[in-house]
Amino acid sequence: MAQFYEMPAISPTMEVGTLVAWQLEEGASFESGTVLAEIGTDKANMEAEIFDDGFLLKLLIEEGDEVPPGFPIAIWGEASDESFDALLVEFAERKAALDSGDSTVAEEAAPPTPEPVVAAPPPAPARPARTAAFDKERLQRTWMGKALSADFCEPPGDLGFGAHQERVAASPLARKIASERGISLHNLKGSGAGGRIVRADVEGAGRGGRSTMHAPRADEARKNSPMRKTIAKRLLASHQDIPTFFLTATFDMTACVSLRSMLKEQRPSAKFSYNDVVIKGVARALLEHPDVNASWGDDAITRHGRVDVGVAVAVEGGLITPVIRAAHTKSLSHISSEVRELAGRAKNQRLTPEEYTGGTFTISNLGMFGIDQFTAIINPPEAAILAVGRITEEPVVLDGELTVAHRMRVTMTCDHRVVDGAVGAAFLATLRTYLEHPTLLLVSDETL
Amino acid sequence: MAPAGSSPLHASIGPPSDPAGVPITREQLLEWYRMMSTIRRVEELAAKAYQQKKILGFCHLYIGQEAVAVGATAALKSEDHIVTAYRDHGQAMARGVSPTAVLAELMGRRDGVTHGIGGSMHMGSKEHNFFGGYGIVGGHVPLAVGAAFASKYRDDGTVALVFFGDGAAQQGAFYEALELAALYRLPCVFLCENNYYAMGTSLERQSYLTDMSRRGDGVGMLRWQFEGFDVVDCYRNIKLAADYARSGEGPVILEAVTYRYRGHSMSDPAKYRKEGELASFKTKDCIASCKDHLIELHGMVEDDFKEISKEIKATTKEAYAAAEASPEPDLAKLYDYTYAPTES
Amino acid sequence: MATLQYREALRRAMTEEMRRDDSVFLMGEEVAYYEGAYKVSQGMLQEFGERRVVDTPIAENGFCGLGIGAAMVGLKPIIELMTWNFSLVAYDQIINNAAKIYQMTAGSYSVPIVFRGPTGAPGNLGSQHSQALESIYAHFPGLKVISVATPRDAYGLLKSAIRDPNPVVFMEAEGLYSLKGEVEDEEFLIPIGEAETKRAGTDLTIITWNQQVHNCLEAAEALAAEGINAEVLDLRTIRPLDERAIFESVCKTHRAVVVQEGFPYAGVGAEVSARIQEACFDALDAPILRVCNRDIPQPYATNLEQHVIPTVQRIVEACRAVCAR
Repeated sequence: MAQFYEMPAISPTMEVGTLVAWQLEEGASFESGTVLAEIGTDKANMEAEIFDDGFLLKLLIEEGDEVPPGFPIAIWGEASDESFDALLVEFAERKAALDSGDSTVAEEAAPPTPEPVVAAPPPAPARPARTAAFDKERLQRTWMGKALSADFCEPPGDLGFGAHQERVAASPLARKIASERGISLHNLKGSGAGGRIVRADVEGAGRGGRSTMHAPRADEARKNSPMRKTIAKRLLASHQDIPTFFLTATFDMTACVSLRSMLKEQRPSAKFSYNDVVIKGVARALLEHPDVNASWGDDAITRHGRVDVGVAVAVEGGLITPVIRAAHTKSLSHISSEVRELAGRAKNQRLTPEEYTGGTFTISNLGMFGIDQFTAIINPPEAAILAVGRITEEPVVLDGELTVAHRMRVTMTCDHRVVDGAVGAAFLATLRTYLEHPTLLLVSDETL
Repeated sequence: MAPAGSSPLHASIGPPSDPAGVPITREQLLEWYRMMSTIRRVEELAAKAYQQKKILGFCHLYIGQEAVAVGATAALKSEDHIVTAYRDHGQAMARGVSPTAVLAELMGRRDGVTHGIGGSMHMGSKEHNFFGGYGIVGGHVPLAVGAAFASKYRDDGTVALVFFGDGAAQQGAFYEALELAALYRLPCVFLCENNYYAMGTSLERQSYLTDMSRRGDGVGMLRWQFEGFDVVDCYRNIKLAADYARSGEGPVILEAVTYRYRGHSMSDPAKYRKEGELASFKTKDCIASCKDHLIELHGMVEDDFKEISKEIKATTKEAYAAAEASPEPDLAKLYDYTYAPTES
Repeated sequence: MATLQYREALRRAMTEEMRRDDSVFLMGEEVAYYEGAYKVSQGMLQEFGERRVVDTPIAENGFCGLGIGAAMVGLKPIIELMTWNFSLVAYDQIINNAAKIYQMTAGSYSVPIVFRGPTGAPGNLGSQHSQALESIYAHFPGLKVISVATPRDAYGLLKSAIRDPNPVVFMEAEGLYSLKGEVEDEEFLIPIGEAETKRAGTDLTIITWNQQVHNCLEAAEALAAEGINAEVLDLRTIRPLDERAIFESVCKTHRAVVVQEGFPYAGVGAEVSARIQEACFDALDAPILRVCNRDIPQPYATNLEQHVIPTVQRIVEACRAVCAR
């Protein structure tokens, strides 16, 4: 049967062989040992012999052609008349693959090309798999029930031998650190091989327990809700566009505290919070200081007729400002229940736009979160916002005497285009009067 | 000792009697013809497999020297001990190791003569009283002296024969071995296969003397040289030497002048040879000359040889296929051959 | 119980084995008529004759190879090297042939041979005659290596070596040939690969062999006076190592010092240290120290030589160091 004669790897390091010259013609007969061609290799020109007897049927490549070892270069057969059409087809395919660089097809049935003998030695043979049959009895090195490396230089199956007798297994370094810091090894859990205590375990011990390697925490992207986007847009604009200044004042809330505790005792149903007092106080003060109850316009500042006080309410994912309309006309209890009702609905996202827009001033109170004082950002188109802190019992000096009073800090952020310092200060002075004399708020002011 | 009768190259102490007097039968010649042809064919298949990267590492082929291995093993008994160096495939097969076992060993397979552990250069088999091949040039020669020592120690009538090359005859171990064999008068035959090249270095560039049998003079050992191109000459000369040693007269050193057709190993293109040298040695080809003997002396015809050739091609092809089909050595046995087990 | 010299114990072992098994023979320089360079084989030529006690010319490579070839066909040669320094010209035979034939022939041929002779520094013999070569033989799989300190060990282990089907490198010491010790009258064998605790202790383990065993015992006495109780473990077999004995001892004492003749670089001490730290890492309270020849070829003058070889003083210092005293 006709078969291929492939480019032999006559030099073990050759990657290609060049056909320098054919030594036989098609149709010639040969015996084992006959030289078929002279091949140029990386080392020298060498002879390619054929180790069979037969007839040369077809030369497949030409003088000057270069092909890798294992690639067919001729077809031969035991008889001179054998057909070899199938081989020609196969050769064409392999040649096409070789030319296009598709090495998998071109090297079909050919040995892999040898490694170039250049720099690094060939990779070490794969380690034999460690099966039970592999560890022969006389080679089994074990100690304390653990297998040692069979080969003395292979990593053994289990590098740790854990607690040894009554000794705690700890690396020398761990022991050193433990001894330096006066830490007992006995209470530590080891993270080294076989439960051995290593440096990291000892160093983590000072922080109350086992030190674990902290995995880095992944970032989380939370998509902006429409509310968040709105808040961001409005407050950024506010922050950028409005020239602000801040006024801070500390109010004595002793009277409010007494009022509230008296009412709690006498009229428990008449509840209100300190913030409700602030709301009413602010509303009354705004009436008296219309410059603060205003909005900037390029042509004219508008002093608002209405006094509508917005109250910042924290909701999930942001905040919203329901508005208490004409707060100066409402009783403290009324304000209180209205705030509660609106805040409740705000948290459930059930406020109508009329309910949270159109205020003329905003109050933000973080006192219940333990904040002493802070600055808020103006809610445009308003001219100011009042940031209210917590009420604390503090030692104060009053009339030269040291006493204890309830104090509350407020910070007003003002739009300087509309409110000047003195204006703002005057507003706050009025507010102080109301908050330090809250009974005034219980009296309706007919002049208003 | 009378000078040699059959074509010695130099005047030497020579064989104890005329080699022409050693009888040879048709059966022996035919057997030798088959064996030499088989060896050659297996070596050719090995060359082919090597160039296809089915055999890796070193591969030293015996092509051209077949007459020496075949003549020598024929001249010895099966209970005698044979040692050679790394060019050992021919001796292994002449000693009875099957072509399948040789090819499988070359391919590193389980059915190889040493199960893939020894490789090309180490084809030892105690079953065939063949110490095998050794890779350190000249280092194996003292081993044969040890076998001969045991022969004398036990007085069991066996001899040891060691093959070595012209290159090995320069090594210290070789000289010491000669000296010990001569001193103790051991039944050892030292057989130099002088193929004129030690790897790429021709003999006259290695040694002042070019007849390695003359090394025997240095220790007072019987020695002579003969041409090793004809299996008949090889058999006769080696038989005389083996018989001499076996009789207790002492060791013998022989040189068989021979030639390898290929390079030192498969990696050697043998460019150091002179133009036409190979062609001229091929005219003395041992297989061709054996065929001539059979035709001229024993009435065989061309067709008989076609048959034999066909047969050998078929059996060697089968052996090759069997070798290729043999699985890789068993990893579980990797450590089995480091130490012989002790009876506990 | 008899009191024998170390050389007499060796002779007794060889004689018994040669009487028992005709395939055992002794070969080497001066072993027959001279009765041995160190008189180990005294009287043996008389008993066994020239066939079995064979003088050789000075051709170590040749006669070591001869021994290997004879072993391959079933004899049991004892090849004497006048000293192990001389073995180096035969290194190729021992390493490339003896150690590998069983494997290269896939178990077809085995090599039941013993190479024996003195190793180490007898004193004032200069660099070529003073080397301790256990490590360069123990390096090779296929060989067994024994190095003995006492007459009893010499007897019991040489017998085992002769009976072992593998090539055995058996190392004695010139300085020990006259050492007397008790050896039982009845025949016995000591298994190859078993160490022996020559002195039990609790504070540290001194691992040693051959001549240094005696130095270590002396050092242990000195240390005992200082309150350090040293265990002295005599390996006896260098390859295969008695790991169990080594690890058990070190796990008990938590400190190890290896005392060896021979150069430190890749010496037996290095191998022992590597294995101890692999198996007994958590049991160690101190790094493992080695007391070896200093890393230079051995000089001739006495004061120089005394500085170079392990001495009782150096052993004591190393032991104190691991005990942090």
